[in-house]
Amino acid sequence: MTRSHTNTKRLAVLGLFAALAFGIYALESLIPNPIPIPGIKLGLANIISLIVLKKYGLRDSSLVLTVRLLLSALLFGSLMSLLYSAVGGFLCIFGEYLINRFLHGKFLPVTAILGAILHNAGQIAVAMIITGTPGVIIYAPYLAVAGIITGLLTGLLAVMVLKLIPGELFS
Amino acid sequence: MNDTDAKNKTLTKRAIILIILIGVIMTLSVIFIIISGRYSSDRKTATIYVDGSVYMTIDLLSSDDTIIEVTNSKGNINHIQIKDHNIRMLDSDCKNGLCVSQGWADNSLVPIVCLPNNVVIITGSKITENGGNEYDAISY
Repeated sequence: MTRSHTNTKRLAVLGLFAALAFGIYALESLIPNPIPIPGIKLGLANIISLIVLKKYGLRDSSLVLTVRLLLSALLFGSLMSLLYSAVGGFLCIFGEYLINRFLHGKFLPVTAILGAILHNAGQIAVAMIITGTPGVIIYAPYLAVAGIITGLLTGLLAVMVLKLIPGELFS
Repeated sequence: MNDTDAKNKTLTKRAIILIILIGVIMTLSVIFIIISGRYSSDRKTATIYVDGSVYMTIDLLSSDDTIIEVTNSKGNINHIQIKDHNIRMLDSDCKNGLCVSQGWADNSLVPIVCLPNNVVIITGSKITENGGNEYDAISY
């Protein structure tokens, strides 16, 4: 009885987070990009990935990420943009999982920064393969700097949001 | 009590290692961006890649002002403008238009890339057999 109750709650909360991640992603795509380098963006949806990763683990955060990627590809993007965001997103979440374990769930912004760097590295790798242009790697330093700044921002926001969410939501 | 203290110390150490790593990545990237900015002035050739292969190579020093229309395998159209020995993506039917907002090629070492339409403009300093760019080899 209790077990099925927790499972139902878990499913509901994860669904909520998936919807939130998608909503944040959709809102962010409305903000014009001030920096004319492809691949640079705030990545605010990573806040949700971080929270779910910290509270539920790799499996559930991968699920939430998959839902968000599929929804956004269906509504906004193309198969190509799905490939970019999927490779970046999963590289990011696996990296964040390992680093978060290494740090025992503490120093979340550090995890977020390294995750953002990995996300951008994944996108560059896909760009190199798809365009067949190794020169795209020249973007790497720009994307690394961008990842450090946006990762720090999303990491700090994730910490703040976690403080605001009542603990019984995850119990 | 002591256990928690010791654990916190280890975790802080681990965090510091990672922060140093981030610092190293940041420093290297900034150094690279500054250096690449210095070498950006002597652009002499431009190579246009469409769908991953060389579409054409232009000698910017001798070329006249013109507009080139490039169509990729999916039928997407990009217009590339050459003016005053400089090159830029004039317009593109891609969704985000980032390639157009990248502006003229001499502003940085970064190639002008239109990812959705798979069109890339790389500027280089000399013409070589494989189409004029600074890389030793490009394989497709």
